[in-house]
Amino acid sequence: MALAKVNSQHQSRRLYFELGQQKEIGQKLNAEYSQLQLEQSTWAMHGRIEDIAKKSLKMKSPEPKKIILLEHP
Amino acid sequence: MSLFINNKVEKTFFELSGIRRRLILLLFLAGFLTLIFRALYLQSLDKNFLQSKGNATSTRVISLYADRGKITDRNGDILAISSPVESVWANPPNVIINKDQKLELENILKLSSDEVDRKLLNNKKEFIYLKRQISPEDARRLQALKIPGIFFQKEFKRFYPAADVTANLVGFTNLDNIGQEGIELAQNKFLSGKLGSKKVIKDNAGKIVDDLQEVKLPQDGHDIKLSIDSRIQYLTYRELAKSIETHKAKAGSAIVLDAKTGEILAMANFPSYNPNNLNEGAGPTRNRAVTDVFEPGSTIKPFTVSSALDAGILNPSSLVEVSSGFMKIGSATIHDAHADETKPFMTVSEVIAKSSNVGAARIGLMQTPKNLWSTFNKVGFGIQTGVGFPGEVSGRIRDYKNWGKVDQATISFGHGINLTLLQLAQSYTVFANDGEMKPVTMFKKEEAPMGTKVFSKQTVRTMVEMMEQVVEEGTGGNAKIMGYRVAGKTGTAEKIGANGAYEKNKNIGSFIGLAPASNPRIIMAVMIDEPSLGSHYGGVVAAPVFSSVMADVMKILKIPQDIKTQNKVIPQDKGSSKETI
Repeated sequence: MALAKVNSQHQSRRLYFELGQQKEIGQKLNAEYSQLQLEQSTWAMHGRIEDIAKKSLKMKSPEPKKIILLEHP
Repeated sequence: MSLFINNKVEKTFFELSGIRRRLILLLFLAGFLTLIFRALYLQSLDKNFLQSKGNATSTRVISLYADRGKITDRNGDILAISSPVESVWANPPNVIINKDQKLELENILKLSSDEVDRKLLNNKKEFIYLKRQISPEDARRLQALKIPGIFFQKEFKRFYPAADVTANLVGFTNLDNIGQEGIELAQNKFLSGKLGSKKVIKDNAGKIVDDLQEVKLPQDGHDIKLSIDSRIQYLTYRELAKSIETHKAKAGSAIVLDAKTGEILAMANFPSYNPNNLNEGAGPTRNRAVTDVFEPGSTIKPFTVSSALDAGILNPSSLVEVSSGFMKIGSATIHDAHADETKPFMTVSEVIAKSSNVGAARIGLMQTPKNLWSTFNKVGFGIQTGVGFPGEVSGRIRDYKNWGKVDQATISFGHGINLTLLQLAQSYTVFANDGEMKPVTMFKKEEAPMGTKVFSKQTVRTMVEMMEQVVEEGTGGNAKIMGYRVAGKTGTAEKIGANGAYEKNKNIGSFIGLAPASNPRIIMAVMIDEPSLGSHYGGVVAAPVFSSVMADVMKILKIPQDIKTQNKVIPQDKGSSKETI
């Protein structure tokens, strides 16, 4: 009986430790996710994209006169 | 053999005297009894003390972090997010550091040698922050130095990807993640989670081996979805900043509203600041569109006129005496900025299009003070919008019982009354909803809220047509957008100086408009404070901001055109409009 208790206690502690480790991994992944979200939104800043489009890609908005709107019936 | 030995032992045993034998037995017995008593004592009487001692060496209460909620725009673009960083702290008496390590430490933390000395040398404290919230990379480099007595603590830092574009709106938190300004402050409770804690057993290596079931789960904060559209916000901020710089103005604000739901799609202020780097000083953190009042001037004339139309005192083609631009009430003289001396009369429509102060004053005076006041009251002047932004003010309109004739006349064209830009924008929702005013909100709404009826549908139709004339041939020509009918109103008001008098050279130029005029979807209000270069008229400093932002908003929101583009051409040179109020 006593040995069984010791054994199950040990097992439970071992499993608990594993659970903790997995949770920690989960937390790390969460942290990484937040960093990636931050990175994505920083790269996607409107000002930055506009700058690249204008300066390095030499893009510009079409003049209103050059826009033809197509309506579908 | 064995028998022999046995005999010998037996013999020896029996040789012992009876007294000695008993004595030894007694000693053993006493020994056992002592042990039993001691065991009993430890087990029962001294149990609590011992258990607490035991627990103290192995159990630990650790706190469980809760995430602060994200703030996003209506499409889920991130405006504020928390990300883990490390804070470095030291236990100065235990720090052992050599010259090279110290140099490296100063390098990574960007601290001066003196500062490090002050913190680490001769410091009796056992806890001191060396630097809070450094990047995970810097923390890794520092950890690699393995300096004894220096420790790391995980913390969350708030980041604002849109930086200055949304700064005055979103606000910021302090180092301890408590909201200090803006939405971060207003919604601090909703955003911040609750720290949790749990009791655990750790082994000698510090590994957690058991959970004592005493867990308080952390509660993560809630995310907030604003009604802001970050694309529109960016355009608004960019164009606002451009106009303020071109006209060397002091400041300015602009608001874009969804006319049907009252949702704020953009609310920009300039100058702004970068909330990611507050060390450089927070600077102008107010959200002026909500916290600052100004005299609206001509932009409230449409309400004076609508109020008269609704009361049946006037119809759009009625003639109003404008006395060639001058009017005397008692000792006060009201005059139009650019009067046409040959014109003693104007139609109601012209009063709006040409923004005649005299005309508006006459129309105001045709009504009872109560009627005019209650119109202003119904469209929310003098009442907070309830948008829930910290520091919101209500503006001021005096009670009609105290109005003199001059007061009533000047209030009719927007003087002697003040309001926020948000109140002004909100009031114009009546022109987009058949006379119903919709309450404004900063949070995304699924459906349009109930409004309050202010004017009849017919009155509003007529008024919107008149405001289209403002843009077509009046003071608001710069607000035109190709392909869309635009209704709007310019405003230019002298600011009141410290001594209470109007200052000629300090003005506020504003423009507020709706598009498409056939069925208004978007309202935009622009206010430029103290433009000093070129012009100070709302039609010149504010209307172009409206036009360039609105043209793109129509595209972004895919709003169908309501005029054939082939017939319409926007003015080529936006800088040279008619300079009328």
